[in-house]
Order: sequence, then C-alpha cells, then structure tokens
Amino acid sequence: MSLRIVFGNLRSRIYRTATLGLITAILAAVLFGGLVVSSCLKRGAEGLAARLGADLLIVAEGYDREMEGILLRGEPTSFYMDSEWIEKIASVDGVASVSPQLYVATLNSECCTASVQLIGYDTLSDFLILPWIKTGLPSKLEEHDIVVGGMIMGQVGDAVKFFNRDYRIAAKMENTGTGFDTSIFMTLSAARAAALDGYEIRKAAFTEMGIEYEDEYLPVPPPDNAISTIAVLAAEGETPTGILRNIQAKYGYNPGIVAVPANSIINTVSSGLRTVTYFIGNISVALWFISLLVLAVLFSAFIGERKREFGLLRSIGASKKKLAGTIMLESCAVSVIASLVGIIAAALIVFPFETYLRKSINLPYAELPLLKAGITALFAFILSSAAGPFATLFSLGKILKTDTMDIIREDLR
Amino acid sequence: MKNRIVSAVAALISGGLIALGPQYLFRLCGLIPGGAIMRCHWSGQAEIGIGALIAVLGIFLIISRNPAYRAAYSVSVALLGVLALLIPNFLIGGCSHPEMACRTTAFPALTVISLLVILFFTGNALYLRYRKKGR
Repeated sequence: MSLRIVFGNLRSRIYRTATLGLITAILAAVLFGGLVVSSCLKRGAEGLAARLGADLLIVAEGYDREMEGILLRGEPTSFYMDSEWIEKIASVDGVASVSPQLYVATLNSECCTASVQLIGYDTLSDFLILPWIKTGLPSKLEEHDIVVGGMIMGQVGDAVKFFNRDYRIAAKMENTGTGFDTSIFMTLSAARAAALDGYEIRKAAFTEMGIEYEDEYLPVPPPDNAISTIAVLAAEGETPTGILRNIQAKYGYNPGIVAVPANSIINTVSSGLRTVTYFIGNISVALWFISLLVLAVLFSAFIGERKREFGLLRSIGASKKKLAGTIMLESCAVSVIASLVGIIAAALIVFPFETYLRKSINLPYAELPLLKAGITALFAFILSSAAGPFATLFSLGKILKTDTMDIIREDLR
Repeated sequence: MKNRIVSAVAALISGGLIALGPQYLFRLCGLIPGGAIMRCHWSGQAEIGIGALIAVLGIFLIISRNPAYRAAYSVSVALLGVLALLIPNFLIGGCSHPEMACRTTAFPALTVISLLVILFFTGNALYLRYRKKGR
C-alpha cells in the first residue's frame, strides 16, 4: 500500500487532518510535560531526603521557617545563634556527631541583583556538604575558597566577589534539586567574616544616609563565633524523637532553640509532592480518555463522510482489508507526527523553563537525566500515538461489517 | 505565494520577538543599584541587532519571487537563529545566579524562539531547494 496515497488523502483533507493532529499533539504534550514535571519533583524529594544526611537540625527559636526556606527553596536569609550550643548539643545522650553551619544572605553581588545564600560549614566535623561535591575539593579549604551549588554558573578556578571581598571557586556541588543548588559554601570562619563585611557595608550605607545607627530596626552585628544551625546525627539505635526528649530533659522545655527532625521537613515536601503528582496524574488519565472519545467521534464522522469513496473503491476491487489498512495507516501517520510535534513542543517548555517551573511550584525540583527523559518521551509517544489508531478501531468495524452495495445505496439515498 | 507570506510573517514575528522580547516582554534583569550594568544586558543589546536583521530578511522574503533567492534568505535567517541561540548561552551569557530574570525567563524564551527559527527556516530552505517545479 503506497504511503503516497495515505499522505495524499491526509493532504486533501487538511482541516480534518489538522483537527485530529491538534488533539493528539495536545495529548502528547500534556502527557510528556506532566510526566517530566512529576519525575523532576520526585527526584527533588529523593534528593532532599538524601541531602538531609542529618537526623535533626537545631536552630534558634523562631527561625525554623527560615531554615526550611533555605533547604527547600534556597531563599537567602541570615540568622544567628550562640556557638556554645555546639558543645551543649554534642553532650546530649544519643547524639553521635554534630556539625555547625552559618547562613549569611549577601547583598547584591557584582554579578547579580539577587541575593545569594552563603553557607559556612565546619570542614572538620562536616558530614552534609562533602558527599555532594562533584569536582575535586582541595585538601584544605582556604579562607578565600568557595564551593558553589550545582546551578550556580562558573567553573572551578573562576573568581567571584561578595561584600567587596574576592573568592575563588574551589569546587562545584552536584545538583540536589534543593535550595542548596543556588547556595555558596565556604569555611565557617570565612562566612563569619562575610557576615561582618555585610554588617559593615550596611552600617556605612546607613551612616551615609544620615540615619542614626542605634535604631532598633537597623541590622545587628553578628555575634562572635556565630552559627545558624547545628546538624545532628543520632547514635545507632537512637531516634530523633529520643534526642529531642533528651535535649528537653537536659535544658528544659524552652531553652531558646528549636530541634527540627529531618523527617518532618521531608514529610512537608512529600505531602506537597503528593498533591501535585495526584493532580498531574489525574489530568493526564482524564485527558487520555477524553481524547480517545473525541478522536473516536471524529473518526466515525470522517469515515461516515467518506462512505461514497469507500463504496467506489470496493466496487473497483479494493478489498475490505486494504480499505481498513489505508484508514488505519492514515490514522497512524497523523498520530505519530502529531505526537512527535506535541512532545517536542512540551520539551521546549519544560526543559528551558525548568528554573521558572521550580520557582513557581516551590518544591524541590531536580532535573531529569537524558536517558530518563528519553524513556519518558518514548512512553508518552507510545500512549499518545496509540490513541488515534485505537479510536479508529471503533469506526473501522462499522465499515468492515457493511456490504458494498449497502454503502453505495445508503449514500445515494 | 503562500510560502512567501508564511515565511515572511514567521521571520517578522520571530525577528521582532528576538529583538524586542528581552526589552519589553520576557525582560532581562534590571540594573544593579548603583548603576552597574550586568552581562545579560549586553546579550539583550546583541539580540536587538540580530532580531532586526531577521525582520529585514523577512521583508526580502516577501518581496522576492525567485525561490532560489528565498532559499538563500531562509538559510541566512537560520544562521542568524544559530547566532541568536549562541549569544545568551555561550558567546556573551548572562548573570551567574540561576534564579535571575535573565536565566529563568528571558534566555529560555530566546533559546526556544531561536531553535524554532533554525528548524523552520532550514526546513523552508530545503523545501524551496528540492520541491517539484510547478507547485
């Protein structure tokens, strides 16, 4: 059977072909786009669970929301607590190890108008940052060395400036799908110096504007040996809740700090993820069935319109099998081309606008590896391009069951 | 005639979007307080020139009746599309922070438009070169 006849038929009824193609392309685009977004969200949640290699995170009272914002969305912020808590928490029963971190939000850096999150970590006790460093980290991180998140532009060796101080990119982290992808890591002492630089710059700006600096609403200097959080690893057999109880037993119910179990952060993300994937999944399934129904109705109508043509073809010797084959091939050709167009159109939205989507959804969002994206595209392609031929089957039976003379007679009536 | 109109309209629209989109529609980052200009601004300036050239070629596409000339103009537009793609992504680039406006909306939009320009005008050039005479 010549493909030329098939494409000739499709071209001669261009509006019909375009209608069928549009429905299939929309189905393919929604299926592929939906699958990619939900897979990226799932990978983001998995990345977060793996990234939070701690069992418990300790922050100053009232700053647990800020910490969640940094972890999940990379919202830059600065907050401090006293470093004496490192020793205090390390001495609590059930605690295996602790590692402090200091969060400092920059002012506008030389490159960007957006504020960037600087995270100081203790290179000796760290168990959170190191596993995610992709490129070789120098044996000792110097004061001017920084490790950048996976999404920050720039390569190892490049120079960056924050608070008028020069830094050098010493290593780059893997993408985690969390707020850490847009953060910059440095030693604890370098972050303390950056916090002080930031304070001095703000103070100078206020002085320049003639604002009295003692005002209670103006920024406060970072305390000596400031830290923001303490990541806690539980000893074997100990649970985060158990440690929480031990902290309360040792320091009372209101010690001025909050202990956030890592599980609770992951649960927040999981419940958000469930809502989004449930929505995307349901929309995709509903759309597939609606498309199937619409395509079946359209095919039935279009085949009805061509009864005379089929009758004539039958009368000059075309077998029912050949007729059915032509119709099926027409349907397959439209479905395959439209599915490809739909998938390419969706790919042109979900991949280039990934960061925009991540910001809009507000949940950890990790990019899909090429192979996984290819498999997803294949899956969406099979499902969407099957809808057309599947819908054709309903109408095809009608033609195959009808006698040639009946077709012609019905048409002449 | 249909090909002339479709290709000219496509060139005028895409050229307009490449030139003016980053300035008015999917905007680049603003100035740093203090007046410093960021790198993405220069990418936007370069795209104005490229977009304008694509739009001018769009006018040539509708004026010219010779398919060979139109095929050549289509190749030129496709090559300008490659340049429009390379400028924000490789040649000049933009801000380092991934969540800046240039990297969340303006550059992705320019990338998509440039890719569509490359695909469409390469296809058009091939169509004009290899189509059967008389059609």
